[in-house]
Amino acid sequence: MNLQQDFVAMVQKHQAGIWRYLRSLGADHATADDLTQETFLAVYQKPFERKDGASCWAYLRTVARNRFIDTLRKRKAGAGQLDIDAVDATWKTLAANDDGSRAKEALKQCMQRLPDHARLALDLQFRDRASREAIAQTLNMQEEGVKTLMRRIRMKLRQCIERRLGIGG
Amino acid sequence: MSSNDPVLDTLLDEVITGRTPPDLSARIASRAQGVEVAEDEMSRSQAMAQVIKLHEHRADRWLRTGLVAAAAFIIGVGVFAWSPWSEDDDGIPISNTNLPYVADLGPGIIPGRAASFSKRNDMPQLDSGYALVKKGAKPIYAGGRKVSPRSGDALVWVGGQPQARDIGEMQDWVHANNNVNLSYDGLARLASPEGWNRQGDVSVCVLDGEVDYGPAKYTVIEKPLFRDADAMFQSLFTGLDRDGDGAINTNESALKSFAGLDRNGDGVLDLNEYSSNWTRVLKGNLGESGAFEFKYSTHATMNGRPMDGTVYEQSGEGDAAFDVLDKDGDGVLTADEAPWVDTMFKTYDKNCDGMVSRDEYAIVPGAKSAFRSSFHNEKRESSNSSSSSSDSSSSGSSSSGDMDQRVKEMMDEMKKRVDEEMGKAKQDGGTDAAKSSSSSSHSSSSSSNSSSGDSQGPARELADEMRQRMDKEMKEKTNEMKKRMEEEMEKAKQNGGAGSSSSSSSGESTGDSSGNKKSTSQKSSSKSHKEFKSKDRREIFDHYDADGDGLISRQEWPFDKGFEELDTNGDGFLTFEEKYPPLDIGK
Repeated sequence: MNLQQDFVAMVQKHQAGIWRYLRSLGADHATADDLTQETFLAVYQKPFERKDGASCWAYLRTVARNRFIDTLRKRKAGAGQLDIDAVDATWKTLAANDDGSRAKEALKQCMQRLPDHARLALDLQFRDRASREAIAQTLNMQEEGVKTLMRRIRMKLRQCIERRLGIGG
Repeated sequence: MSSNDPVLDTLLDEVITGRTPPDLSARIASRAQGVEVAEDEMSRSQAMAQVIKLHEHRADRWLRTGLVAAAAFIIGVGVFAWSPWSEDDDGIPISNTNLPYVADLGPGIIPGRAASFSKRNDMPQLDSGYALVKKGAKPIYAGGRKVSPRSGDALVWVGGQPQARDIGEMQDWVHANNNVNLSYDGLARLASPEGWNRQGDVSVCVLDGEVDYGPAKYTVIEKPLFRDADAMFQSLFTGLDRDGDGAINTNESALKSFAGLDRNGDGVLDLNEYSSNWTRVLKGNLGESGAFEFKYSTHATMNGRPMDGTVYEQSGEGDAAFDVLDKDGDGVLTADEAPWVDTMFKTYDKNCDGMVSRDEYAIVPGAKSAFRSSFHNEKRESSNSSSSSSDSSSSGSSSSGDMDQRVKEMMDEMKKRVDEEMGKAKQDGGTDAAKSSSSSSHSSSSSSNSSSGDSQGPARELADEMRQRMDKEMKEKTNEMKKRMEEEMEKAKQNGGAGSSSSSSSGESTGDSSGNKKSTSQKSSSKSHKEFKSKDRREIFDHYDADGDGLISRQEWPFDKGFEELDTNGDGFLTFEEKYPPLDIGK
């Protein structure tokens, strides 16, 4: 394969991972779309050397992260409480060699084992974008209880994913 | 609600809402190609400006200025010269043709899943599958014709009329592709068969605005497509629900873009779950009243006239018919190759070059059925001719196409005209002439009968033959009239006396032939006009006298011959008397 074919193959292999990575950094859908394209275009326009899977993936994440930070600067928006390095570290843990698809599949399986009220709480938050107050009313709980519930769900899911991916012994 | 695990939240959002990462490879390749084309066609500085332009809508003004300056600096020091993406190892500029098909397409052309392209006239041609052609994109070929988005977006499908399953696949792809901003109108057109304009193997759905396909122009018109939104979603849902169980399961391919929408967690999508997703991503609203009317369809026109239905046969039967007719295979039809088209040749010969090209043949609105029936006749007769060439006239008479009917009508009209002329000749020419005209009438009648029976014979040849016969009859009649007139004059001179009054009037009539013959002849032949049904003659004369000036000019004379013989004074015009000499004189 020549360099251009390498490039096309690289786009097809890593675009989903870059898009997920940008979303986890806090980019909305449209921004993630734009920055994913710009990440690969930047690679296309600059001298590019063949890299193996892991180093290529890390390289692309670095480009995407810099693009995202650049965008925040342009918008004069801060990263908030987001610790980009921590996010990067999580990605290295959960998706060191792929685009996050394995972690996603593991998450799906883990969600099937959640109790109904936990699944409902997740649906209300992510699908319906309901506030914590609304979730509390629906589940007949205190707001503080919802906060605790969501923290425990996340922790449980995270442990489940890592266990399924064989991370952390 | 904030979280300290954004990676997990991202995955949760994706699983629960189904917003999977979009396939941006086509878009990236398209934008990359835009940069590379610019490098080929413009200077490197312009190429850099092109890159900057791609980012223009997001970059601040100061940043753009900085990038331009940086580009100029980079060009100045020649840093770009060693870019491995600008040249290959041999120093030859890399062509986009080395890339997979997606990179061969220009900006605004988004290939669908499993779409395949080839090159035609250095332009991409969609060979199979489907693709979106967006407003402002360069034209692509499909089915040998150009798809040119003028002011809107269009989906192009190669594979005949898209079926419900195909539409399901495309609407799923459109939904998954963030490059497509689909409105309710656009989705309604995509979902309805009436929203697709098929020509041969290619169907085009105008999602918005106007799109040209070859010589056809597709515009959006008001036309009810669905009763309401529910009906439209039901139609789309049915297209996806291949096993017809009322739910979309994971085996049905469209589900891959709807995963996570399963609210009740039963593992399948019902109609409500499916339609609620569409209402969320569609552009615009359902309408102020809440009852949106899906009233827009596409409308195909050709040369400003509405096309006949949604199909004109480009590569199917119509093409085959053209090939059968085009005997010398030169790609155009002449009157010799398609004699039955003769009377309508001008209808097809749009550019008036005396030939009917394949395009001209295909685009005549409303003539499809006539062509088709004639094509079947042509095919049937061509197969019969090999077995029994002697029966060609009978096989021709059995054909009942519209063209044959036109030829018959023309023949009947000519026959009627000949009969009229012959009737006059009978009355004018006495017994001998009557015999002559009777025989000629019989012969021409039988001739016309045989000709009209042989509808395959070229009408033009038949008309020429009849004209020649008529001319011959007229010439004979005129000579006979002259001869009789001279005899009458001689008699009048010899008789003198009592007969002088009549002879003088006759002499005045003939002697003043270059003057006002009309008034003179009216005086001299007022009696004979009644006797010889002058009204009929006058009508025939007036028929030839197109400008109504009482004279038949050479241009008004419809025949090739006979004019000079009748124009006795040689002034280039025929008077009524020259056309119908007063043979009654002396009777």
